Amino acid sequence: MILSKKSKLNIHIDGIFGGLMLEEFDILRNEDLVNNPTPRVAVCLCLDTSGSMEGEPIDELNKGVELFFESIKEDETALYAAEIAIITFGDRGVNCIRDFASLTVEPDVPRLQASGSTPMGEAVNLALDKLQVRKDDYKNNGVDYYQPWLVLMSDGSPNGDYSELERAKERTSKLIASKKLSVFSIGIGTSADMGELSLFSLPKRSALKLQGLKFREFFEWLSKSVARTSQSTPGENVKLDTDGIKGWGEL
Amino acid sequence: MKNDLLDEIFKNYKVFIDTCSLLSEFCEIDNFFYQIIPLISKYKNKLIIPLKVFEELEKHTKNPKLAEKSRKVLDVLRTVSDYIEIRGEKNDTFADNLFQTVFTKFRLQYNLALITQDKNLSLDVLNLNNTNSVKSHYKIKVFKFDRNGQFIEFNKNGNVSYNSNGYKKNSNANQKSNVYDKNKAAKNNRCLRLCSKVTSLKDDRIYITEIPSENMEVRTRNGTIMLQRKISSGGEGTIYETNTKYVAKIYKKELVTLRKIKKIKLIISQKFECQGICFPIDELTNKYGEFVGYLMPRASGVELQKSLFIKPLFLKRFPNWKKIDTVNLSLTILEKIKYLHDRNIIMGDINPANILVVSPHEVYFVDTDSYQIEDYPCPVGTVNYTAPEIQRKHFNDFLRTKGNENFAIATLLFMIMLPGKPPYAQQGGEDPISNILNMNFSYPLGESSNKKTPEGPWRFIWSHLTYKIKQAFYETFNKGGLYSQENKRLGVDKWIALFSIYSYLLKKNKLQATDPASGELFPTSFKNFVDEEGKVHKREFSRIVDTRICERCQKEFNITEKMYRSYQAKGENLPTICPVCSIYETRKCETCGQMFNITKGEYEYFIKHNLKIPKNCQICRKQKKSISRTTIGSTSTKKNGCFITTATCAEYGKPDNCYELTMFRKFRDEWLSKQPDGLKLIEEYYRTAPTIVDLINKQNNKEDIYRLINDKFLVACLHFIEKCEYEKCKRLYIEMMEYLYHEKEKWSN
Repeated sequence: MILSKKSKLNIHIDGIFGGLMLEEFDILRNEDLVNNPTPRVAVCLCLDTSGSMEGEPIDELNKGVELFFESIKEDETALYAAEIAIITFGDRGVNCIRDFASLTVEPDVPRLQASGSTPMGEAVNLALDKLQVRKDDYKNNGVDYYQPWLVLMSDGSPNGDYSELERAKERTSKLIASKKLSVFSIGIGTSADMGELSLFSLPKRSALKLQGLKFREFFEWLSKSVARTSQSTPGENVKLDTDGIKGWGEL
Repeated sequence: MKNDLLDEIFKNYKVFIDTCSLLSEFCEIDNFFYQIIPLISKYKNKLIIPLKVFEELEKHTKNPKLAEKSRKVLDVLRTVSDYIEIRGEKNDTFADNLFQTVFTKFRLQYNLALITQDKNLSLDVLNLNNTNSVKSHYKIKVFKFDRNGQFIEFNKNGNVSYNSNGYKKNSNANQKSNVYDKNKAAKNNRCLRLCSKVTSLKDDRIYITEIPSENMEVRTRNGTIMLQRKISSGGEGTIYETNTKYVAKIYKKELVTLRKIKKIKLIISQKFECQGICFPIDELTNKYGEFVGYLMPRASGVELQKSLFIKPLFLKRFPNWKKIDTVNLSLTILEKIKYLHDRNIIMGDINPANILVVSPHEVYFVDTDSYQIEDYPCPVGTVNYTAPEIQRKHFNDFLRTKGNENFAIATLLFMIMLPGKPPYAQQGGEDPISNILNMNFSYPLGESSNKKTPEGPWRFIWSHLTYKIKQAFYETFNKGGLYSQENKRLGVDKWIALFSIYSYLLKKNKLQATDPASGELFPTSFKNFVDEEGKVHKREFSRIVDTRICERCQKEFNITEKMYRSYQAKGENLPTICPVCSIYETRKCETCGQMFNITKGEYEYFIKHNLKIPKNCQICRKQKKSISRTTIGSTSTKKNGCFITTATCAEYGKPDNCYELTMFRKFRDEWLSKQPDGLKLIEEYYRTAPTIVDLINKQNNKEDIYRLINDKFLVACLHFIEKCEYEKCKRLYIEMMEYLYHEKEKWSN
């Protein structure tokens, strides 16, 4: 399988996703794009990795993301449907540490480190840009796709550029209103700015607060929701497992 | 009152009571409830009072004669509200009528008891026991309060006939007769009704006391069986192994509805038998006698969705499959659908999760309880397999037609042939619903395509299908196609015929002879094609990657994949001038001395036809030509083209620069030559036309032939050119060439 190639290339510098050189990563994911007929669900994780996440929170987040990857890999339909991107904000500013690709193309789970500030607006803008590019890829190649998902997780208040923040909020609410994006804003801990987070996911839903550090429960729920979506046809209404939210969200 | 009689009926029957009994002077309502409340508690079986009865009681409170009694009854009912169940809806009709309706509905699931004083109603309701069309092993009994206030069974006094065909008075759930006995089975090939109106039966939830699970007993009509290991769990319920060779589907508590129960019973009553279609064969009830699911043959294999439709899983699960295997699989599936369609069963929710594949010749259809049968709709469906005319409709509210279903069949076959790719997925497409509604099909038939074929192997796979199969898909999925309308779509028999031929051609290696890749599942190039001389050619990359406006002639021109690649390879920018206009070289005219350009288009044309590059400019050439032309069809006209048209015009005595000829030349040079197949057509024309013209000229009736050509083709062609309907003109022109080519045989004899 195509995955075997990448094991030798384990260099970690900028422009490299996981263990794959950017160029190779692009070749593989574009190959997957045209060869795999499965309708795609793009999931962008936009994660706060600022200094305040250091210690247990970042460990739990890492475990959560790992679990998310594992659960998606276990579900055959979801594995070929889900394309996951990860954008972090905090550690070294805003970084796309994994661009959209199926876990068959890049199965490695990235390690997140906590430090720095909380440029949330910039991060969301980058996420939206990346989503748009990937959606265009789908369209240009005649690949059906579901409404993409943006998962925004933060334990603090945005402290990046104000105009970027406002622009990000405006963009998300427009996309949500035109049913082109589903946003889940998740607050972590007591300092999370639930008001600000909500502004990203309105008008559809308010931000939800994670119970303690139940990242794993959240990501398990997320993978199930992705799996459920991947079993439908794009454009169909898929009911969200709202009962499942009780397992990790504070109401 | 007879306590044991009451005990018996509350134990085994759903008990209903009518207004007239409640108001009867023989009924002491308090007393009656004292008697029955312990029984209601004991058997968790409430006394059912239709809402209509309640409403009648309330109405009677205004009737002086009955006011007192009805008020009393209502008071009592309010105090015992925990022990009664009020059922029904506001718009229900008369109570009498209501009982008949309700009893008709429920008599297949429960033993039913009615307490009424009304003799006619009693007889009518009891008569339901004798309905021949639908037999039930449940019983209906009627009771009343007699003159002494005694609760007694209604004595039919011979008024009711029990001896109608086959009905067994004493039949009951534990009867030992073999319910699977084929001799008693309804005829296996019986055709069901094809309905157009959904059953009036309600699809509301029915209360189920307990849903059995692993290691619990359930009852069949044949005795008790045991649920064992859980096999799978889905949206509707759970499948269990049992201690029989069959498996059990147990519904989720909230999903059991009356409609569902009756439908399953109807399917079971038909005793369908088709290897691979997992029909319900017996109903399952819990220890309270409530319907909870059904028994069915066990399926095996892997879902289409999780095998064929995802390439890596396909290759993993069926590593040795070739094209012929998917063709044979299609046939196996089609034959099962044929079994269903022949019996007027509509699958409804055809989808790749409901079909399990073991091998090309062994498949299993599951979730058969959702099939549309008679007036029971199939309540589910998925977007991809839903015909445009029924998109966005609620599947539970209408009945699908075979025409609707034929769309799903075509989609399924398409997605087996192009493994997993939905027919309307395309470049720049919208969401799947809109794509289906638009019926904008992106795969080409001949040259007709919207040029939006998805990237990747799909266009290659498509190219390798047989022409007939491509045509069938194209005419089904393309808006305005021959089979694109609900009542025009190909039925299962037509598809079987097409796929049988396909299978035969692959089996005999006929297709692989032209191109070995035709036998592969995922060919990596277009299908080779064979020319008239039987020579095999590789198809070029004719796909259009960009359309531009020519800076010179201001007309659109296409950048093909081949051009794109060659420019990229040379590191050049893509052209801004169309190939026809771009200059190959500039020469000096030998006659007039003026400089003139030879475009690439012209150059290629000369080379292709083994002609010398002209030494004279166009004006001088034209003059020379008109001088040299003496006879029509002679080689001298060749440079000018339009043999047949020219010949025809000459026959009519028209000059070479007449309106008609000018228009046709304009069409040829300015439009046709720029079409993807234009040059090919023109080339072919130059190859065949001169001989045809020569032949015509040798015929005695050449005037008639030219007249026919003119009237039948040229007039209409000119008309199309005038209206700028070039595509139509082209088609007619091709038709004309085909006609002439055909006639050629006759003339040459």
